Amino acid sequence: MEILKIGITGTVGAGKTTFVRSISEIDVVNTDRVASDETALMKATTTVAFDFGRLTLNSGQILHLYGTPGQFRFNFMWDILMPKVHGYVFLVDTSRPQDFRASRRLLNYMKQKTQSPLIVGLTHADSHKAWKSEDIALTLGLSNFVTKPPIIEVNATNSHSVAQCLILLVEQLIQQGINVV
Amino acid sequence: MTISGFLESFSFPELLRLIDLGSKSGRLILQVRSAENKPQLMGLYHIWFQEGRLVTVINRSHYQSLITQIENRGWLSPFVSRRIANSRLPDIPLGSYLEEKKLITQQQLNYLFQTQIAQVYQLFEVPVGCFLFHEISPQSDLDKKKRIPWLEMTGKSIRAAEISLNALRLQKNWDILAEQLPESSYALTKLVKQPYFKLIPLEWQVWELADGQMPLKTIAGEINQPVLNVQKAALSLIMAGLVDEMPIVYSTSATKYKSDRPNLSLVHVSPKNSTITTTAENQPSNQEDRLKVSFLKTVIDFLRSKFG
Ligand SMILES: Nc1nc2c(ncn2[C@@H]2O[C@H](COP(=O)(O)OP(=O)(O)OP(=O)(O)O)[C@@H](O)[C@H]2O)c(=O)[nH]1
Ligand SMILES: [Mg+2]
Repeated sequence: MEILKIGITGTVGAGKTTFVRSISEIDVVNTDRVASDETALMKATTTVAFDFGRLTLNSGQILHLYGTPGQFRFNFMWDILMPKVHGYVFLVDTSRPQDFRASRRLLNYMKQKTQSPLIVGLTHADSHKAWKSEDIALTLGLSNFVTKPPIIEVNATNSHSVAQCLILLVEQLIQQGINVV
Repeated sequence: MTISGFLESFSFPELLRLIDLGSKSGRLILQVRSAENKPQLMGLYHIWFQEGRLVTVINRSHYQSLITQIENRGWLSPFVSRRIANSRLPDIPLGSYLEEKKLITQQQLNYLFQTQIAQVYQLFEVPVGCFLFHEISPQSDLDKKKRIPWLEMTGKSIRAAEISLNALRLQKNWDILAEQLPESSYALTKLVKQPYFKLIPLEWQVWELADGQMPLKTIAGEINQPVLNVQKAALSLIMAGLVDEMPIVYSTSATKYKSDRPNLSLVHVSPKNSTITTTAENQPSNQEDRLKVSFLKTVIDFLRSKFG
């Protein structure tokens, strides 16, 4: 069985759950309600605190999507999920400059946790408050990466757009040859 | 090309960091609508940048032209200053022009420039306001470039990031800035190999312990400083673009990954601004976790056909 594991991460409300839901063939295992209750979550060990989505290509090939929690208090999930993914999409809500610093912080964290290729997906790019991608790239410090991650606008509510984003990530995997034999 | 927003959601030091990192040119218009116990700060400011460096500050609400300021200090006679004001000067900063004509000294220009940026230092205490940055790209038409306020410029400049560094050092009132301090549980990671600004001793100590692992509170213990001071120094270094903050997660799994995965520590040095990047020890590098290119190509085809 060949499984491509892709992480979907970003700060709170960036569109991770929406992204996974838009493309998954199964109903996304939704942990949003659980995740709002810290105590309940702390009791559950490693099972529930992420959005799990799946796409079956055929009997031997599958794509798994893992949407991480955005809230820092669930950060142990990042540690569990991120080292396992082959690549990840880092979502940023372009209309919320108040979250950019937190995005950068999270990205710094992810960069240390995993060396897998990433791309940056800009959500809410249709908003009149949306920032331009060059400015977001600067604000997020993307030039500090060994390989500057590609940036793409993505409408997390639209399956075509989500697929384009995933295609770009898979192309990066091939190009960078990381996690690839 | 504009960026607009509110200082409440994108702070002034962040804005300067962006202008510095992007080596941006243009005019930053800042409207201060409330300044709590400093009502004199309220008003409209035009702050001009050239390639990431601040070149002049114009207080539109209490406007006094540079030439008037010079005249008021008795550095130019009213006769000369009127003649200058009425003549067509070349497109160079007024300060440089006067200096060329031996009408003003370097020292006087420095003084004038310091007076301009002192206003900017005060803006760090402003909690609410809105900003609009009109970028003038190098490719911009001459028309836009003509609007550069040569008559308000001393010819001196300072990197946008250095303004933050200076302002944060001078800061006495931390009420507004407190919420921007990195948490004491965060670590710092270096963004450059060597600081390109002169640091004060505390900043140096923090810089040297910025290893991507050690939380600020531990750094404080190491160097025998109150945590708050270390957080302040860290904020200065962050906004100066020298380091960045990073949360640390203490998980049981973290130690496990360290032990059973290759510990790659890649260092990348980009020639332009001597950026370094250290990366990560983890990736699903176990042989059985690696993917075949043919599989990845199938995924792409699948996504194209199903959602194209
Ligand atoms: N217009 C627009 N709305 C979007 C886009 N992406 C997400 N949304 C909306 O943004 C909201 C937040 O999205 P979520 O998917 O819940 O965000 P999340 O990242 O999972 O948030 P947390 O799990 O709390 O960290 C939802 O109402 C989405 O419908 C987009 O690209 N465009
Ligand atoms: Mg979610």
